[in-house]
Order: sequence, then C-alpha cells, then structure tokens
Amino acid sequence: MQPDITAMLSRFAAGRYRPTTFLERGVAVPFTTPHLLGGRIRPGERRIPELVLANPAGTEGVYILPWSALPDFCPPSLHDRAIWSRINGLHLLTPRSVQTAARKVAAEGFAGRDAAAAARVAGGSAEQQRVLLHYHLLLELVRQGEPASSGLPPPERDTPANVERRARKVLEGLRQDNSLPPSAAVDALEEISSAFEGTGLRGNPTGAALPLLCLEVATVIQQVMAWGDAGTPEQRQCSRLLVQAAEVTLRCARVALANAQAQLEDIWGLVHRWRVEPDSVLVLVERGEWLLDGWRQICALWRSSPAEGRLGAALEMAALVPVIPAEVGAWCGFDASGEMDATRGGLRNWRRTVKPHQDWATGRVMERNEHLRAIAA
Amino acid sequence: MKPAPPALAREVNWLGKATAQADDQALARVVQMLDGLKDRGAADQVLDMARQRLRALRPARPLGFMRVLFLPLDGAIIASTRWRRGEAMIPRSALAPLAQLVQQRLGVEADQAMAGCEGRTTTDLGEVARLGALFWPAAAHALPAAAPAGWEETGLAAADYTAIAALCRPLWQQGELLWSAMAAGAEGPPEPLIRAALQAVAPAGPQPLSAALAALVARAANPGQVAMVAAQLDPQCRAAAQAALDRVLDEPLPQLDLLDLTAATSSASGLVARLEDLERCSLIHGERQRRLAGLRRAADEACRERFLAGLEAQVMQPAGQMMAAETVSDASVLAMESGARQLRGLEQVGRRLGGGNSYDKALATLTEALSRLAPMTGESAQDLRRMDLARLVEILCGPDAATRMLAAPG
Repeated sequence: MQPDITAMLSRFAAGRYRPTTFLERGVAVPFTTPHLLGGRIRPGERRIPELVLANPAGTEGVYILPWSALPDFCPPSLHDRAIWSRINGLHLLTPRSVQTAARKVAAEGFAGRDAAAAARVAGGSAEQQRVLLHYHLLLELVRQGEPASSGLPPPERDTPANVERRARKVLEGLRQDNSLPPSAAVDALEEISSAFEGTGLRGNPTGAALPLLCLEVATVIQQVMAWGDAGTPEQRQCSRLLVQAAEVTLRCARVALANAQAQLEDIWGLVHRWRVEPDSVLVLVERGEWLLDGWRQICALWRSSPAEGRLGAALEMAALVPVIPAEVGAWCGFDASGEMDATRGGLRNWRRTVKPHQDWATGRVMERNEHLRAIAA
Repeated sequence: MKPAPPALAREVNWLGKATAQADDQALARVVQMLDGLKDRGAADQVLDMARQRLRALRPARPLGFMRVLFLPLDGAIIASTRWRRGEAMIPRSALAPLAQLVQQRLGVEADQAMAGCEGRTTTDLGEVARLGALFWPAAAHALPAAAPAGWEETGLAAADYTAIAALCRPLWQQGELLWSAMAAGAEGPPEPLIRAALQAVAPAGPQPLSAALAALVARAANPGQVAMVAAQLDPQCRAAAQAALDRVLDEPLPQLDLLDLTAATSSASGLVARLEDLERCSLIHGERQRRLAGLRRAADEACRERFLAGLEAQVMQPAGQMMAAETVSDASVLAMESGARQLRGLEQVGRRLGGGNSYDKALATLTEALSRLAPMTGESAQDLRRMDLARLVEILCGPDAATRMLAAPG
C-alpha cells in the first residue's frame, strides 16, 4: 500500500509561502512522477539544496524538504532519480542550468524516446540560436563601429568571413591603449552570445526561446479564455484567473526582455561591462528566464490535453502558476507580486494536484508527464 | 424460427464462427459492414456467435428506427435459437417484423425519428433518449392485438406474438424511465433511477418486470444493487430479482483472450466491479454464492491468462525481435511501452480478483528475462538499448526494479 504522502509531508509544511527573490522561489524541475509535478529546487541554508513542493491537497502553502529526502517520501521515476542526482551536483541553480541538466537526462532516454528526441532537438536548436546570435552581434558591431563612409556593402549583404574580418577591424579601431585586445573582445562576444541565447535581439531575428515562449503563453491563454467563455460560469472564472496570472507574468517578462535586449544596442559598451562586471549584465538577462520559469510546463499541459480534458488541464495549470517574488516590483514598474498573489488566491479553489491514493503506477499520468517532457523540452 | 436452407445455414454458421474468432478490428469492420446493409436477413445470425464479445467491446452502432425502438429492451433480447416459450425474453427474429409493423403504423412520427437517427450512433445516449421519447409510448399503442400477416416468417407461432407484444408494450410505455436508468448503467445506475424505472413497469406484471430487470442488469455496473432495489419493491418482485441474478451468474465471462489489451482491461475492470457488487448483494447466498465464487475464480484465471499471454506477445516477443533486428525504430519501442502500460492496467485490475502471487512471479520472471537481454543491447539510437528495457521494467515492476537493472554490471 502506498504511504499517505500528505501525512508524511506535513512535517515539512512551510506555512505561508511568500518568496522575496527568485532564488528563494526556486527553479522549476520537470519531474515526471505525479507527486513531484510542479516541484522546485532552491538553495537552502549553507547552499544545501531544498525541494519545494506544492501542497498535494491543492491548498495554499508549500512543503520544503531537504533535496536528499526526495526518494524517502515517494518512489520517483527513473527519470526523476536521474534528474535528482544530476541537479544535486549543479554548482549554480538557475532556470537555464536546471533546464540543461534536465535536457541531458531526457536525451539519454529516461523519459522515453519521444522526450529524448525532443531534448536533442531542443539542445541543438539552442546551440543554433547561440551561433546565429553571435553572427548578429558581429553584424551589429560592424553597423555600430564602421564609419558610414567606409564604402563597404551593408554587413548583412556580406559573406560571414568578411563580416568577421570587418568586426575584428572595428574592434581594433575601438581599442585604446590599455583597453580590450580584439581577440579578448571576440571571446567576450562568444560568451555574450551564450548568455543572451535565450533572450535574443529585439524583434527576435534569431528565434530565441524566451520571446517565443512569451508568444506561446499568449497563444495558450487566448485558447484558455475562449474555452472558459464557452463553458460554465465556474470554467469562465477559472480561465479568467489563469489568463490574469499569465498576463501579469507576460507584462513583467516583456519589461525584462526589453531591458536585457537593450544592452545589445551598444555592443562595445556591453563587451566592456562583460569583462569588468558580468554579473550586472547577467542579472538583467536572467530575469526573463526566472519569470517564465515553469510556464513552459503550464503551456504543455494545455497543449497536451484533449478537448474533453480541458477542465482537468486547467485545474492542473492552476496548481502550477508560479509565485512572482517581491524583487520583481523593484524593476517592473508595478506591484506584480501583489497582483499575482491575489490571482493565485483566487485560483486556490481550482487547484488540483495528485489525488490521494491515486495509483500513479498504472502509468497513465506518468505517460502524460513524459509527454509533457517531449512538448516542453 | 423458420429454418434457413441447409447451404445458407452452413455458410452462416461458418461465418459466425470466423467472426467470433476474428480480432477486434476485424470484428468491428464486420459489424460496420452488416450495419450498412439495408436488409440484413440471415446476416444478422452471423453476429449471434460474437454477441458476447460485442457486449464487451460495445462498438458504436449507427442509430436507426429499429435500434432506437428496441434499445430499452436491450438485454432482454436473445438469439432466436436460445429463446424458450414462456421466458420473459424477446427472440431476435421478432425484432424486424415488430419494428416494421410499428413503423408502418406510426407513419410520420417514425419518419421524423428516422431522420433524427441520421449520423448518430449508440454512443449518443442523450440522443437515443430524445428520439425514443418521440415514439416509444406511441409504439406501445401501435402494436395490434393479433399477430400481423407474415409473422410466421419469424419461425414463431402466432401465440408467441401475443406474449412478445405483451412484453414490449409496457417497456416501451415506460421507455423514457427505463432508458434513463440504462444509460446511467456505468454509474450503477443510481438507485433513484432504478427505482423509478422498475416502479413504473411493475404494475404490468412479473413478465414485463423480468424483462425490464434483464435490460437493466445487462448494462448495470452494479447488477446486485439493481436486483436489491427490485426485491424491495414488492415481495412478488423478489423472484424476478433472483431470476435476474441467475441470468447474471449464468452469463459467460468476457472472452479476454480474444480482446485486445485495452478492451480486455476495460472489460475485466467492468467485470470486477460487477463481481464486487454481486458479493455485496444479500440476495446471493447458498448455491448462488458458490456460483459467484466460481465466477470470480474463472475471471481471475482468465485475467492471469490474458496477462501472461500479453506479456509474451507485447513485451517478450517484440523485445527479442528487436534485439535481433538491424534497426529499431522509435515507433516500435513506443508501441512496446504502450503494450506494457496496458498490461500494467490489466494487472492492477487482475489483482483485485486475487492471484497476486502469480502476478508477482510473472513480473519477476519478466525482469529476469529482460535483465539477461540487457548486456547484449546496443548503444545507438537504431539499437534496442538497455534504457529501453529498463523503462519496460519501470512500467511493469516499478522504478526500484528498473534502477537495479540499470545499475547491474554488463
């Protein structure tokens, strides 16, 4: 007989959950075990990682338990065991580092062949975006640094080899006595491309993941709204709250992405800042990742649900809507944290996580969760 | 029933046997084809041998006047060869002439009902209720007192017509209430629906009540509860309730070996629910209790047999073939995993019937067999990999066993 998870978790109840920082909120981990769906990892005291789990009853509040205790209270899937040990070894906990580790686990087949193929494609596509972004940065550098009277064709019409040569020339021209040598600046540009791979450039010419995720969230909430409007009053109310939660998140994410992309408007200045104080650059870049962390899975839940399963999907989505920590208010221009708190309070009535005594071992929920890994790789 | 010419009878018999043994998809195609015939004639008998499987599969059948007319009596309809005079059942050979008769007499009402059937199937329970409400009560009044001309074509005597019509009339009269309860069969049906339907039919006498009970228990997830409600209505109804239970206990088990895994699991799950309900029924004791215990044992064995056959066909054989194959596609691995999940579902249902040790033993044997294959697996995406085998073990035996398999040397 399965142990009563709720009773076991009660020891770890954390009362009212009001994280002030993203790090305190934790990073979403794409678990496949039904009891762990929506779980997050965060650094605890002395950097020992902790697992943050939503209350399985769907009520307000979370359970916070040592990361090492995960297998003690429910039998994790093979996939989750692998993720559990890989993430445990991460030096830095960010949405991107967790996503990269999770992709590697999925690519090895722990969540099945579909998820493995999707993880490989997603990994390849991230690398492609990085290369593309690097090229765009070179183009931008040439546009910004070459004199208008150079007589050369616009860089976007030139060959990649010429663009690189012209970019080096620009870097040499910009160099003052003790400033950055061109080779170091080129290295810095490579690193910047990696850092900005998710946010991309304004207008998203590289197909970066985060602006695309914003579009995905916007598309899904439109569908959720249409579903709610055509349904019962309860469905309408639930869908409105989900839409509100997504809209608050998108408002913040757009500000975060715009601020991050604005840094690329002065490439030479950015390269310098990157060499001197990379954290000041990264903090702006990572805001979007943190804000949208968890929404990929929420969208996948909707996408994977059949028409007759929309209500069930909406209830699970309600349980996964992430808190917006107070730190966001300092830069997004409105009380995002308060607005999200109010929305989540309303969503409380519709949250549904794993039902008590649900036999996840029959595999249907696991299969669905593995499918989510394939959709949201 | 009027005997068919010997050659035709032989052909029908052969076809019926072949249909009963065909796989689920083939059977569904045969049903679809026969449903498409304007005049089914002897072809209907082809399905008689597969009725047991059709009850388990419950394929969507197109609605037509005759089908809607007789849906509230479904469960009280039996093959003409099994029909016995005096029994509160309706032989299948009587359906077509009765429907024809009612249709002629209803005229425009029947035409409207037929138009409403267009594009609908038996899965549209609400639509059956709506259409039936239009003509079931009228059909009850439309049947003449005496057998119509041509009745002898059914192979039944004129006197049989009177008895059969006397069964049909009250059930059609109360068709709406009866169908409400039948349509909610998967949920029990709920007691108020059973009570309302039976109370409405009971004044017509024990025979129509028996037929109504037969119709209700055939679709009920809780046949014992249906019988209990009937027995509580009136002391005279107790006998009809017990007769209904006898029919349930006499029903052959679903042929799990002929059903695909999804249908077998769903069928076994329904069977377990029915058996558990019957075990709670206080009308069952003595000899009936022994028969019920026998049914449970037989169901347990059938489930285990199906599970073992499924393990072999869905997991062990494909795994062995993939080990030998030059390339293994993702689709074939996914199909094997899907089969394993279905088996897990069947096992969960089967354990409710008992035989837990047998399942444990079978799964331990499977894990051993797959573990023996593991060191011979390949590494590339075109190979069957150790991870693929571990996932099969995870699906069927849980993540601990799968972790041990992955950690094993080799």
